[in-house]
Amino acid sequence: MATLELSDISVRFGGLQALTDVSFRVREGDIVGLIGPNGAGKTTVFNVITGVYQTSAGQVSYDGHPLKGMRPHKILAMGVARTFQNIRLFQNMTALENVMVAQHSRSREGVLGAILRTPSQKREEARIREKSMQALAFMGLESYAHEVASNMAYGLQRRLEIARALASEPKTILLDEPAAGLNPAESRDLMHTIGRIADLGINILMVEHDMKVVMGICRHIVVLDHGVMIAEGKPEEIQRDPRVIEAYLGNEHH
Amino acid sequence: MTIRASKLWLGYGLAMVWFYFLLWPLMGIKPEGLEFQTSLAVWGKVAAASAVLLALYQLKQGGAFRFLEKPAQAGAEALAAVTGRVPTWLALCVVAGAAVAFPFLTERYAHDVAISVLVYIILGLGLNVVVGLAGLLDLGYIAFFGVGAYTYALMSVHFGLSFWLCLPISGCFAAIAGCIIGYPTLRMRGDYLAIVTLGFGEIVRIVINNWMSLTNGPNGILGIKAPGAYWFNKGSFEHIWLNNLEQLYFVILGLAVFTIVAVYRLNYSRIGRAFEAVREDQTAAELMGVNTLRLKLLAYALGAVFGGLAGTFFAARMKFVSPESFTFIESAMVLAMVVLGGMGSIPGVILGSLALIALPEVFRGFELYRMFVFGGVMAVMMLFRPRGLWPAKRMGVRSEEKD
Repeated sequence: MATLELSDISVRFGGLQALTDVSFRVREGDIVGLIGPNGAGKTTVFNVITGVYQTSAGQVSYDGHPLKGMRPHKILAMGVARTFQNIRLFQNMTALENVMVAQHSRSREGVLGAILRTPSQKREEARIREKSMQALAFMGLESYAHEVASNMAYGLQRRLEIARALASEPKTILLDEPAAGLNPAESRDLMHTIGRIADLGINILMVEHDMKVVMGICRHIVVLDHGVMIAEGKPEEIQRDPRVIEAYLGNEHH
Repeated sequence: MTIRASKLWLGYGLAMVWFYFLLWPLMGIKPEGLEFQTSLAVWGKVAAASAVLLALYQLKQGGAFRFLEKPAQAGAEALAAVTGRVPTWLALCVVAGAAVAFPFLTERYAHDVAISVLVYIILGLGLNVVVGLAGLLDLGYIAFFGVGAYTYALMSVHFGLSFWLCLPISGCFAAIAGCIIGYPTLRMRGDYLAIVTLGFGEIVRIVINNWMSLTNGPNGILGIKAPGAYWFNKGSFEHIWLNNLEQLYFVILGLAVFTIVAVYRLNYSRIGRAFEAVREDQTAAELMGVNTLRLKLLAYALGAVFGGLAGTFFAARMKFVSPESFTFIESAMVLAMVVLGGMGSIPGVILGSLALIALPEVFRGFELYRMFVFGGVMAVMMLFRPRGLWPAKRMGVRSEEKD
């Protein structure tokens, strides 16, 4: 029942029309790819969904609830987690701590509980740790749990970002260029991982430039160009679509 | 090697020239005219001493002391092996024992210094929650100290409420003040935040200074009661006032221990992690489910509570409060302790407070040069140990700790 729906989203920054009437859906169990040339507004779509930007028109709804005006932490609590195009880990914290932060919205003990170390606080801490270790293990990072994030190799940091998003127990996960900067072996690994995430019953919406990754795993693709949706459909259809080819390669008949 | 050496001496020469230009205006410009002798004499001594040190350093780099290094290193390793085997709880017991035995082994003057150090440890740890954990630069922290002190002073003088009852009340008042100051600054970051908190700190002091009818203005409030206690005496409990410094030492020691435990536990809790996430990357923290606005407000309030507790004790110990105890320089001192000791590190802040309060007392003879040395030490520290005397531990220990 976790359907993310964007209907006629427009975003304007001053005089710049970043998105114009974008509508699409991420259904239960879907893996949707969001592609388009640089500056097409893909990350803006993510920022709109997660509440970083407000829409100028249109609305985003999740499970039928409109997300308008909700602060990002509320949206995460509803089950939409994301990663970032340029890695935004908590650099000075360990991998485990990074992941544990994501459990914040799934836990409730306050200051007094922490100071008094009440039994319920200890239980909750143990549960947070366990869930976080599970998320690390899912991404194959359990041996790096106590490594400080900034000391980890780039590929591992990418995986840690996904682990952190997963630790928030999402129903939908937004991946912003998860394959950026990965070598071919790591990319293959990532595709496999994304498949496993989908097997958990988590819907995936991802922005990606690596067409091998996108065409390999996405079941549905949305193409943006200059903030406008120019095509939508199955990977095979998108590959043949003349408008998409034009947007990527330029028009030959100029 | 020779190129490096000549570069080193060139640097030394430049540093000495710079130092003379710094020194001469201080010592050589007098109403009677310009004078060079005294400044040159001092400069000569400093230059000679540093030349000797530099020469020694070069000899060491060249390997002239290798015959000394080996046994020294072996000794250090042996020592590290011994200390490494001592469990933490034993080390803590030794520290606790020393803290308890301290007043019985020392003079009145030492008690006085120790009490100041402990007050500043509480302040430092409180500010550490705001600056070290949540990463919000607060230049007006002493205002909460003032709020706590005045709360107890007024409650004690007007209503005769006891110290112990007023501790939580002052904490609450300080927390409210923290929220009032924190709220408008929630959406600010970095430099802007620092300037606004600086302004708020001054506002609190000026309000205290001018609200004659309530605070008696610059004259301050007299006649504040010391903490009371029940003591077993001749078969029955009787009420006594904890007036002398030894007794007060134990009161503040207890408060400091409470603060240390509380801050330590917060540090390793869900709240502490959220604070740190806000410090590291506020946007990412918000997107990972942390209500950053609320958490920042909480950081201000929590920091303020500890400031308020310290203030309550301060009022009870001095039996007098006046606005001049809460000036900007005090905020700067507390901040310096946190930065010097190591942001986010509890032992670091304790060390920082010791260094900034106890050391100046030890070197009372140089009091005139205190601020001068203070500035110099801070500059050197930030160059060589930018993360503080005792940097916050990372490397796995944090979330690994068990209970």
